[in-house]
Amino acid sequence: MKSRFFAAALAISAASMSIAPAASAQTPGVTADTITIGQLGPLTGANFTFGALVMDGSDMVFNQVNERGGIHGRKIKTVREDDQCSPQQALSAAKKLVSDHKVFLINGGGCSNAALAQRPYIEESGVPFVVFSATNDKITVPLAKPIFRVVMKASEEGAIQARFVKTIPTARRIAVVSQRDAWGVAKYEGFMAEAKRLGMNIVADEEMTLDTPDATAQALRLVQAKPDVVVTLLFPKPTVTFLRSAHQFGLTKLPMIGHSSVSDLSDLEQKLGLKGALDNFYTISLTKFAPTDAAAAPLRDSFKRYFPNAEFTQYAMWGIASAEVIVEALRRAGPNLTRENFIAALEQLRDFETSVFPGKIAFSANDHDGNKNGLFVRLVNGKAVPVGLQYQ
Amino acid sequence: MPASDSSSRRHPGVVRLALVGAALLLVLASVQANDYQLHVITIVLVNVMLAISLNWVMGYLGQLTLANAAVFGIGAYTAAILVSRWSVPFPVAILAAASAGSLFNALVALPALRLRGFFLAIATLTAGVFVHWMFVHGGDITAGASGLAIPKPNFAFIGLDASSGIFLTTLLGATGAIWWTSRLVASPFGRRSLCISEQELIAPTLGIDVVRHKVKVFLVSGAIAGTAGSLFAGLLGLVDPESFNFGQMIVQFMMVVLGGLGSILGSIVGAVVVTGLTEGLRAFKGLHEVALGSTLLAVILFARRGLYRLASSRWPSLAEARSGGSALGGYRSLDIAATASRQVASSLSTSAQSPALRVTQARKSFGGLVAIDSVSFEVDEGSVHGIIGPNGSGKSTMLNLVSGTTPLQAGRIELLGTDVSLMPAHRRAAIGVGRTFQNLQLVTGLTVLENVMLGADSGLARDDHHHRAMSFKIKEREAAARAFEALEFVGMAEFAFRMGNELSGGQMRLVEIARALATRPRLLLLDEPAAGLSLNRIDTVRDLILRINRDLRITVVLVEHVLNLVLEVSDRITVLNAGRVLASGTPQQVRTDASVQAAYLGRRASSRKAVTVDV
Amino acid sequence: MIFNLLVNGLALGSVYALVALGLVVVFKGSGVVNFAHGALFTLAAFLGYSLLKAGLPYAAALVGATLATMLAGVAIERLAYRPLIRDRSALVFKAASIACAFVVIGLLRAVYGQQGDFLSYPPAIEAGALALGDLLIPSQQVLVLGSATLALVLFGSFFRYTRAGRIMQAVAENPEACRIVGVNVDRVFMWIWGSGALLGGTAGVLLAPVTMIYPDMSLSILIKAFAAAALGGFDHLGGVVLGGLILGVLEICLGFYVGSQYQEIVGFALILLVLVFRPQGLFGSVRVARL
Repeated sequence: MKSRFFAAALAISAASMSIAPAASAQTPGVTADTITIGQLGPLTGANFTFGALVMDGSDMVFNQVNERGGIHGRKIKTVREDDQCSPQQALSAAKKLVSDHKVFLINGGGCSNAALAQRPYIEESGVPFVVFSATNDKITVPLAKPIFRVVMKASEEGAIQARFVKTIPTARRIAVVSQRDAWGVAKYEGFMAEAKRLGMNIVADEEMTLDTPDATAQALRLVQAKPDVVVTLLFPKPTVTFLRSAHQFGLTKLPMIGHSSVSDLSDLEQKLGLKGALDNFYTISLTKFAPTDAAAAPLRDSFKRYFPNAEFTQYAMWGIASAEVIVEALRRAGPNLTRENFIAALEQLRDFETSVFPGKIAFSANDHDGNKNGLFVRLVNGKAVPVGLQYQ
Repeated sequence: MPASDSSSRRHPGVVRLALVGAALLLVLASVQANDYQLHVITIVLVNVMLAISLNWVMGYLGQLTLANAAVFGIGAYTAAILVSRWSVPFPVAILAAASAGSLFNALVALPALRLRGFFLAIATLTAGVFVHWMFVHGGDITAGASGLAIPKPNFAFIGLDASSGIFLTTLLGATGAIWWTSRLVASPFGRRSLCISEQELIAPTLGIDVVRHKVKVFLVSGAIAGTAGSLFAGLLGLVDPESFNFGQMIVQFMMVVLGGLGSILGSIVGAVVVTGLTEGLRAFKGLHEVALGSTLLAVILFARRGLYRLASSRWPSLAEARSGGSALGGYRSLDIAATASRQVASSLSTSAQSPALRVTQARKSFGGLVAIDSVSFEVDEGSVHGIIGPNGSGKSTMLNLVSGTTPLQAGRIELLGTDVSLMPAHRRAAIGVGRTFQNLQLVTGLTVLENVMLGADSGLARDDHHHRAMSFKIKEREAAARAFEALEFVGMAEFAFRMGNELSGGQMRLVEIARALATRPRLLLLDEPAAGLSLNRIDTVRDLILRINRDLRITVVLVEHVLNLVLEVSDRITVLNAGRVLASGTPQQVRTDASVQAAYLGRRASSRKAVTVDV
Repeated sequence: MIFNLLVNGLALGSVYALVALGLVVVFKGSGVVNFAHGALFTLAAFLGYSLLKAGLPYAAALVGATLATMLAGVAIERLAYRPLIRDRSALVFKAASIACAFVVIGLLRAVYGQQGDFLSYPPAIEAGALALGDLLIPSQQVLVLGSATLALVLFGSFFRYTRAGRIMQAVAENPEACRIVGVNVDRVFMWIWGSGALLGGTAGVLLAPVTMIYPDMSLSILIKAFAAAALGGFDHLGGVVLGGLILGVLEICLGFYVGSQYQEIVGFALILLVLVFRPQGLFGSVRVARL
């Protein structure tokens, strides 16, 4: 009796589900006077800096555009969803933006794992997705038609680091300290691939996790290996832990190379609290100046207009870049806005200068990674000073 | 007749409710839920499975396991690896995931099964973190920290797209888990789990191999969580280590505690509430953790048994059906009058040459203290044998040695002709020994009838060797019938559907005896059945013992303080003092023995007044 | 080289010992394992940070944070332990302590989370080193090792030689007998929990300058505490301290000699090994292990 009832219900519903009505023909997220942009990333949790803060920067640009009348008569409306960097939440949040909020495009991607989980769905639904923080290569490689990336991808950064190391005259023995989580592994593999290509001699390859309380073992193993240069592929917290042990054993006298997640050197110095530990520390900055620089004043002031209580951070700057790219592509796509011609507009973007990145953004039909320019900086008298791509 | 009104107010069955719910969901989904909603519903279903899986260990077994997220992950990764690397069809991958989850869970539990509860908690916590580390460092196999992508399963052969297909499969999985669990709960498996959870010490005397049973529960729990993992992998298309970390474990934990431990509907409620809160509270910018945590704490403090139980205590019609109700209904249609003759028939002792119990030079010490020293005595089949002695004489220890609750150090014990000196307690029960305990309660999570059915299950398991052909339904009916008979025998049948903790001490004592009787023992060990009872009750107990011995032809060994009771019912008495046999003989002999009088009674001969003597 | 490994290992281990000791004090005293212990450790670390930021001198900030954490420990005893004693269900209590941990961590995240994914203490003393012959021990390590040892010694003496300490021991052994003799057992439970939290909090403020503080540190420190307690024996205070020291040294040495990727699983492996081969640990009684 019960089983018959159940079987009947199952059959009816399976049948009705397969007779799906056709998708609506009108472009979602676009009306005569608005464009709805979804923003997807961590708003809460440990990684909120890679989501919420970046979105603040984007919002600044969108607000400015709206004040000037919008794009082809359409004002930009944004809606944020929190994925907390968890793949499960990420998929939920993405689906919510696409099927509930019906956004036109998505500006987001704070964490690699979350973005990776979202990728198949994004590809399937065809929603343009501009990635502003997540660096894992697999997000854009192999190519996904709707996904574009404005932040430098991990292997690119790793390669840039390797090339920089090559320019150090004393660099014969290289030591590497890395995190092997999703974020770290991509950078590590990128670095090692280029290092191998350049024929570098890796004498130490140590690991740390976000939780490692003490890096004595790592530092001592490095000391034993007698390196000339130390490359760190670590988040800020383990970087501090590592540098403390490294300093204890004299490793900070060597040139040390960091990367974009540790780009705020003055903050690093303040957290480290060790005099002289960062004298030889070079790191990649994704932006051409620091948020506290004089050159950043116009941007900083604009930002404060919309977010008077928030601090103007590096992260906000990344968001500015991503929003500027989006706005440009929207403009180029013309008044007859569809997802297809937005994507086409992005693919035709060459030599696009943002307010914050050191180089120009360029996409093409088979390369959706637009940013291949990093800038090395180091601390001199407490201020971050650009160093270019060659060791000085 | 049992109070049938309480059972008729309750809902016909959890299973039916779940199936109705399933059908409703199907209809809802088919009315074109959008992508997001379908996704959320599927996640809820996965969470339901996880809550049910965790509930097995935490609710029914009463143990804290913190490895369930890892089991979930093992299932997910197993399916993902099989599908993505070896193109195994999805249904096969699901089965593999269930097995992997099952085995892993049992493995994790093994080292800690004989240890105290918190060791299990720590061991599982550790295992969980270990597994996470393995996922991250799994190199080529697990694709490490970036996660392993899996192609979406193909449902084209039934004309569905991937999302709908996964939803349907998950719905089937969840309903299957619910059905299987409700089946197991209303069965010896479920009853025994609760018994172990609340009264682990007495479980072996009911024929329960505790360690083996715990492993089985972990196997069941692991199978469900592993299956949930494979479905989750199919849903997300990506498995990565962070989906199965400690944060995930906390979510599962919350679902079960919020909804209610030991309740299927509670698990469902918990899953829905927590998933809903997680989706809905995201707007609260970080305070959702605090909100969830405080809710959890509030529930634990004020609605200890969870939200669902809170609701069902207010509205009893929501309560889950108890076992025995419908089984008993079937029985009642049979002829009840045949009760007495049935019992007598199956308890008839075979012509035994050997005594029911023979203890030879038994010895047991605890550290430096010698509790039992060279004790020997015999109990003839069909007799009532009393064991008395001052406090600290070792009476209870002696009983524990006979039932196997305490292992024997030296000497020999033969039960019903078999040497059981080295046999574990749960195997002795199978020979035909039943016992009661001092100071222990009934299982509060079960009704009185279910408590007694624990005994019936034991007896049936023994008889099962002879007639294996009994189907599950028939076995349940038979267990309920035997339990009911036993309750009638001790005069507690009207309390059959009360919960275990609703009785007074004296009533519980009687139910305990009924439970022992339901095992259809040939030898019954009674541990101070009259302790703390009023004079009236002591008479009831005396009459009961005599009826047990004469009508049911069961040999009784009685440890007691209430002297007059022992003197009245026993055929022979053994007196222990400081772990040794002080005297042995008929009640008359013992009463007049000078050394017994000196040690026990003082120099006066005992009066006929019924007095509880506590030395 | 090995000297550095040992010294750093001992410094790290002494903090583990403190945390584990707090856990075991509560276990011995009230018979339950407090799963919120790691959260208390974290709470102390964050409170210390706030006090330092508010301008208090170093020592005052640390002491203040530790005392506040002690109060939090007592609050948990009142809130989660006392009402649930009647229940007699160990599982319910574990669940309650996990819920408390969750609330505390959630609060910390809500209050401090917006400031970045981790916070850092200014170092207690200028980086310098103590010279022993031709071996250098960095001052931070000296400070940690010294303070932790001092705390352990102080606590040990308190427990063993003062009246209050002996009463606590007695209640831990046999609360019923103490009640009969007229000891205010409820108040002593409060003290026991407070001591446990005090120890955990001290560990927190000692370790914070070294490891930086972040809300999720509670889980990893809790596992370390369990490992140390399991190794030493859950009911042996001295054993637990030794367990912590061994754990710290093992972590650093294994990380150096075997490979840094194994550093994080040393604790877990230790727990599992102990459980399989010698559940009572090095010095614990068999009673504590069995049912």
